[in-house]
Amino acid sequence: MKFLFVTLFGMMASASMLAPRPGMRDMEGARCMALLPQCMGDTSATRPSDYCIQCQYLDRGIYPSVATPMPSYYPWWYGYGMYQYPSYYSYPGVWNNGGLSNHYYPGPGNMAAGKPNIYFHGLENGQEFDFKISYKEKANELSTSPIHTKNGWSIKKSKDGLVVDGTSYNYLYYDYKLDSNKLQSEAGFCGDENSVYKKMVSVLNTMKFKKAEVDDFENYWAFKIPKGEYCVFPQEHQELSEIAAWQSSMQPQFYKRVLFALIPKDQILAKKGANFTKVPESDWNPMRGIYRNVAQADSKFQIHEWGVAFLTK
Amino acid sequence: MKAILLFVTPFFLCSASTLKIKAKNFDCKTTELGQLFVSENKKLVYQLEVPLDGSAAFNLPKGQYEISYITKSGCSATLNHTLQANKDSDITIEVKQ
Repeated sequence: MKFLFVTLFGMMASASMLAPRPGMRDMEGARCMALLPQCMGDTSATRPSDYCIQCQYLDRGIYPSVATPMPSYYPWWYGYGMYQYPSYYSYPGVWNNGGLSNHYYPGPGNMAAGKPNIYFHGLENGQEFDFKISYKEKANELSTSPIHTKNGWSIKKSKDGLVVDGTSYNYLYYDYKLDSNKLQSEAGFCGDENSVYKKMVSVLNTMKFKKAEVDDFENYWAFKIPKGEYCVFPQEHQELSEIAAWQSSMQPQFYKRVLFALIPKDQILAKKGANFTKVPESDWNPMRGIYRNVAQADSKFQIHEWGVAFLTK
Repeated sequence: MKAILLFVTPFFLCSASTLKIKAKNFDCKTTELGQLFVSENKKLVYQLEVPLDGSAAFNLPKGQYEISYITKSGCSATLNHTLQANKDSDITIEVKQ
């Protein structure tokens, strides 16, 4: 009897270990919906550095430990343009009637994505691959660094970073114009410029973007969101691949991609926010932006991308 | 028809520019990161982080642009560049201490 119980218990335990984990779909490019290490790409090669989500506004610099939307340190370039450009602070670019200027950010789309930064992890030194952004209907490139040729970027991993055309970069950068009608307009969050900024940082931390990647986000967006009330509609790879598709010669096992579409709340209420006609009806789950490609289970390669988009006027 | 022309025309009057940053003297370390500013009439169109010896590309309407670059250690340069409609350009900016 005792033997039978032990055997039965053992069989049940084995079955539960072999069964698919709840929330994780074992299919190529499946979206990860659980905070499991396996789902976050949390391996020794790619593990994000320790980062206290709750402490991110409290532990830097000499300032009092109070929550503030701004980092308590300032990037070295913070004071450089203040006397040269009237829109240096609080604007992401040339601003016009509650949006980015269509004149300076040309293209048929009605929205401009500013500063999508792409990071690559889990590469061996000397490893080479090609990566290209392929723009779909009503989307076009505005700016990139380094230069994005018709074949994209040819990248080689070195100890100093990602080498493109002989120069080392920490990340690749591109701006593009897009059609907002292809974006989701149901889930998100609202608040003033300070609270939506904090929430975006929180989303990046929840998605386990690395500390340096979140720092890059903070260094720029802490100072570049115009004053006002916004609703933020985060977009994931599923929507973005219909607009600006990634083409890579090397497939990642994990990828994270989020584009925060910031829509002024008054434009939504006045039905002037394009397809964003109502405030978000539900919260956006940050796990939606994390994908796992089980066909590449042996690969350590990961791609992380964050960006921010505004309507153009 | 007029509306279509107005909508389409500005996009085709743009020019693609590629920009390369070069160190003019040895005091400027090529591994250093810098900030690149592209503006017209004091309107800041782009601000991006580019390493010294790095490159960037822009799709901009015709106009007279000021391009400034500075690194944390003070290597810098500024140049004015006129972009013509439908004419792509390659720009090199040489920075020095």
